[in-house]
Amino acid sequence: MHPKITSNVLLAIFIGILIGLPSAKSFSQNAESKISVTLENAPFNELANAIEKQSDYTLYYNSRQTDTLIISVQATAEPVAKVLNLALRNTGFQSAIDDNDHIFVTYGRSIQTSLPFGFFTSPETEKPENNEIAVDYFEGQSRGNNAEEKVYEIGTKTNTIKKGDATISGRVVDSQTGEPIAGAAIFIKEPLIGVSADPLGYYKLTIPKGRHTISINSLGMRETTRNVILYSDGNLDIELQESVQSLKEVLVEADREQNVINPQMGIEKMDIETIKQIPTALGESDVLRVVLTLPGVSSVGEASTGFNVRGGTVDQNLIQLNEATIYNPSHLFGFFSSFNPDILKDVQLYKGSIPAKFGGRLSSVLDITTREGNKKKLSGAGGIGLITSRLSIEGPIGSEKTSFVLAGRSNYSNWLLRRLEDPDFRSSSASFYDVNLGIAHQFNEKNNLFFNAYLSNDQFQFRNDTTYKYNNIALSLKWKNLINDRLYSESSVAYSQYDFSINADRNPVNAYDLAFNIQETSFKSGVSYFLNEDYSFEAGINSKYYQLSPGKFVPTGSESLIEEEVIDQENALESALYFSADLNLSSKLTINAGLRYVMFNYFGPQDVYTYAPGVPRTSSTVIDTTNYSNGEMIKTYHGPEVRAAMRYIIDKQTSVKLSYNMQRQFIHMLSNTTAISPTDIWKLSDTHIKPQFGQQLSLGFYKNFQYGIIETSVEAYYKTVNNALDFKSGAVLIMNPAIETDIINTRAQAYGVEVLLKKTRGKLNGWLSYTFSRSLLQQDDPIAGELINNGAWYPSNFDKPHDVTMVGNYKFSHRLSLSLNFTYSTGRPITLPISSFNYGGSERVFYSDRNQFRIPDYYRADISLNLEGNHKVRKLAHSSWTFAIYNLTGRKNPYSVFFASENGNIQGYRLAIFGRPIPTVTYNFKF
Amino acid sequence: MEHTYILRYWIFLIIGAFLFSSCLDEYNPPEIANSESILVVEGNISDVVANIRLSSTNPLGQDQPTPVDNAQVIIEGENSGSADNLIPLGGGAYQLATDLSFQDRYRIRIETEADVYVSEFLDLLTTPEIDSVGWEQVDGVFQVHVSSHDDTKSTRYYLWSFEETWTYRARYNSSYQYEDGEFSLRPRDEQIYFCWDTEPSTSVLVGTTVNLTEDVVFKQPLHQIVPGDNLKLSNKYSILVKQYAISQDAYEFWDLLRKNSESVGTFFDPQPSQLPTNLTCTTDENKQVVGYISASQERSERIFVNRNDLPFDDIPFYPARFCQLDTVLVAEGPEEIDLQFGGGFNLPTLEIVSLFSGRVIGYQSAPRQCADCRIFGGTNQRPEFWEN
Repeated sequence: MHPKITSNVLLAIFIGILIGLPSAKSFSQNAESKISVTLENAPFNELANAIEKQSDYTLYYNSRQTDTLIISVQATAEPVAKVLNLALRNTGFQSAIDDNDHIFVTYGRSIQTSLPFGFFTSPETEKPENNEIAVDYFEGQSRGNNAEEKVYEIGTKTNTIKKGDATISGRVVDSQTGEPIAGAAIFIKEPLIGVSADPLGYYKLTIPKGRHTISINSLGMRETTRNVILYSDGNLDIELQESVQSLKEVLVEADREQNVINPQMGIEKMDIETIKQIPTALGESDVLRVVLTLPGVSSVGEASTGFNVRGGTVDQNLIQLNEATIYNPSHLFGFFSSFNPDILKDVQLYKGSIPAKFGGRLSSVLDITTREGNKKKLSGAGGIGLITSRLSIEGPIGSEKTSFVLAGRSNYSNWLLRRLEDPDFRSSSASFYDVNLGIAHQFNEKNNLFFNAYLSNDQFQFRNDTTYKYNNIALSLKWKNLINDRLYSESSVAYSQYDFSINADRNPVNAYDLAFNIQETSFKSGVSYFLNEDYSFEAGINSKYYQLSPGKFVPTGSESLIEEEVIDQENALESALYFSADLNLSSKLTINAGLRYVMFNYFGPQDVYTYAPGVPRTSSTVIDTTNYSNGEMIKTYHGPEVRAAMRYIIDKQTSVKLSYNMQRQFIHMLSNTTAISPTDIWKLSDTHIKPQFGQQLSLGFYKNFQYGIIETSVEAYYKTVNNALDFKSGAVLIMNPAIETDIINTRAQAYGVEVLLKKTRGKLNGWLSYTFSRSLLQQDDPIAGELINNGAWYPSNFDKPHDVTMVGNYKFSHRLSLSLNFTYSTGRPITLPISSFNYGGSERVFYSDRNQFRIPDYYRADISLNLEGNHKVRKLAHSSWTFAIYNLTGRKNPYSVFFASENGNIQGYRLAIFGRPIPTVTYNFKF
Repeated sequence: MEHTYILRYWIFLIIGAFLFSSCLDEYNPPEIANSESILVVEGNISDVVANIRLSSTNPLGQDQPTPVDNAQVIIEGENSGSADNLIPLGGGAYQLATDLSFQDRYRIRIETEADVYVSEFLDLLTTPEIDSVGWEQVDGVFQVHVSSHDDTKSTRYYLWSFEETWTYRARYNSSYQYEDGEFSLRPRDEQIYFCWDTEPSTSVLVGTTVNLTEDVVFKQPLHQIVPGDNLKLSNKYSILVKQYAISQDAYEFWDLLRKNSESVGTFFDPQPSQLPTNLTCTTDENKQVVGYISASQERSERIFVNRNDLPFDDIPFYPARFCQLDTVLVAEGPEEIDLQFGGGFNLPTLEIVSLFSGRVIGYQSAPRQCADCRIFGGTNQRPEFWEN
């Protein structure tokens, strides 16, 4: 907590002195002003108006408190103080008048308008703390909403408030756990000025001196306000209450006002509460499912890994869990996401302007952070669903300085499989688990260390034969250091590993093990410098070291005749330097300008083929092989990336934003199938495979209504990608030592408009979005050997021009809420065989141009009912039930359309995965 | 391929096991039913003969190719300005004996009822001689290979096709025939014991020597026969290999045709792609056309292989059919004999001659599938090229 304990003690003593003083001194001067007023059962503000009209006094009061206050008073030429006393008699309200003709009307306790005589008589001996006085009327009951009703005087009190600005700084923390709340929005509405808390919860808000109501909100926390009188620079710490238990919170309250204020655009932030409210097919809250409801995000089908952002491919998304890259974010073919919902803190998707500190992927950054453990007491949470269960436990270690959180999740589908009649099912298995461990340690208020570990495993076997396995490992260690109140640094080291293996041992002669492995070790360090409210800067370095084993094919067992084959390991270093500046050029115009310079080094050992120039690369056009030794540089790519965003405020509820982004990507997923399968491999850029280069220009218009309760926005974007990868027909991607022979370069472009209407609060909340988007590809590789669709632009696999998504929540009471989801999208494009012919002595199939047909449109509605247990604060466990029906209307949305030859005829089929309503029940508990 | 298959199966499995909710419905995209038919052109122009085959694409599900017979097919010389009509042979085939110059360039012009299609002008390529066609045993499989070379190093891309012909015999030799109640000796040229069968190649056979310092094709595998699978090696086998030099573009066409054949449009299948062509429709530029015409000298080589020369011990001798022999005696009466042989389901194989009288007292009868080799697709007419 900030300030330090010693200063807290001082402060407490100081407050004690203040409170102990009699309030007789309150209206010693200026009491001569007399007014006449006659009011009968009138609202308080009529009295306030009368006083202000008839005297020089200015009244300060919280209209939230006084709007229910009805008063009756009759006075003729009475002093103001007396009139107020009469009016407020027996109402519980108090008034206080200071030397500057200010009248404060408060509930419960009157404002102390001056300090004890002589308190500041010797300014040269003033203790530094005195500059940061937060006058606090908590009287020890420091938690709760009472804080909202208080008036905080901030800074060194002066007789008159001079014109000009002053800065409030402080920290926003969770009142339950003491955990800092990063990204909390702290703002005033008049004039509209806001900042967000840094990753350690610290904030600095520079606003005009005087009386303000500061609003503070953050994801998953109850919104709160603080009434302040700002004299000069000072401190205000804010505790927020978690909204989970109150159930009063709103669906997505994050970025309230932020959507208008923040210069960056195309950023979606979700908290776990939002995530939990979206009904899912298998009963478990799922980050990726929720991401898919956001405008601009789509996928090829229901059971598919990954997602597509604004027309980008799946591998163009950087998915980070606590700074470590996650290469496969799905369990069980995409039916579940890899992230345990119980320990998620927040999820941010950057799809428009991507801050300079992120890089390496073209389309988006999905930044997932897990929670710190509860620093105050041991607690836990869990859930029991039809297919999976999960449990998490957290608490302090030793002192309140250190905490841990441990969470695990597993499925029990094997148990189900064993009970099925079909022997094929019984001899098959499918299982997964994941484990998260987080340890947070606070050395002191300026230094925090976080350790996070994540492990996931998927394994499935078909008929006791081929076993598929894949694992994600992510480890990270992060150090956050507040060097001084203007300079802040964050450094991390992270290690990620993704591997899969396929093992077949049914036939001992052909028994084999096929393995792929990628390891990424990264180091990141960045500093943020807040020069003043208008100028802040960020700079840093990133470095990633990749070690990739593209394939190892080895015999297993002594009888196997499989010939061992190992493809050369790939090594590369991706480094970046970045600098960005946030510049408030005026109260209306803000610019965020960033530059990132990236360098990619691909080095040996490796054998590199040289192909005959100007002809398609095939195994038959190799003209030379160069052997590079260990560590020898093979290829270097480098270049700048510009990140720029601009915001112009039209009025306090309206703004326009423009952003431009440049990205380079050096690692690519090789997948020439429509859906991403767990056996798709990754490939680094090398001599032949150039880095992908993407640019995005976006323009947005934002308008809020009713103080941010209703948000509307229209964002339009246009993006291009050069050197996107596509594959030749019949390409072999796995165990191919010369993969470049099957890869062709394409160009991609995407454009779209995303319209969002969001109601952030109230009994009914949610959002409705409409997206028009196109995602097109063109093959322009002169040496590809084949031109897809004759070199014309064609739609990508996930080009779904129209998309309408509605997410609605209705809270009947604090315990009962109902969610309804609705999704419509154009069917995805497919290439169909449209006729057959005879050629070369055999029957051939004639395909349409690539992706010229579409599967039928997709439409789905889901409903879920959330029932919370009672809200007694002290009970053994808080629990909730979720009843959901996925695909309420039972529409058979085609997952795939395919053709099979039957009795000499080719028949088309369409497969719907969730072809009927799927009911689920989940029980969640928290203790 | 195997992995993707299993993965696909897995999706079904998971759905089936966990959700009991997936549905598989027949799906007929309306576009497919209405797809217009596209002209398919296949062929080669050599210095001595032009062979073009025209057909049209069929709706999916109709297997038989639809020949296009009522078209004008013309070879046009670029420099000479010559224009010679090919002669329709029926079944979509058009042919013309030619005497073309390697100095000129030629194209094909096709005039159908509605449209005109022309190919690019093509250089007439010289094809190197086939050095040898040979065979070897590879892992218990009979494999035919071809070798060739071009000292000028200008060929580089090769296309092959072949025609294999083999003899096989029925299990029993029906030396007699039964007609209108009379038995007679089967004439020698009507024998149905030995048959010849011929099959063209059905796979795309292309090769390139671009990666070699010399333009040498050495033992390029063309064809494999699993000895136990069929009768091809049961007696005597012959293969005629034709070799054509092709352009790089033509090579890519054939290679893609080969790769494209596998996919059926499922989720985990690779994306298929359109075939390039060197033909265009001049009357309607939106009309598609399938095919790639080449102009190349044809070289061919035929070899014969005798069963006795083969190292396999699992080659069948005759078609594996259940054969129950029967005997019908003359004494049983003409009705009984006619019942046995009149319907053609049984054939007389041998006379039964009385040891005492020396008279024919009956006939041995075999089911037709055991005595008539033609049932299995071959012809009893010996091809002209067949050597004994």
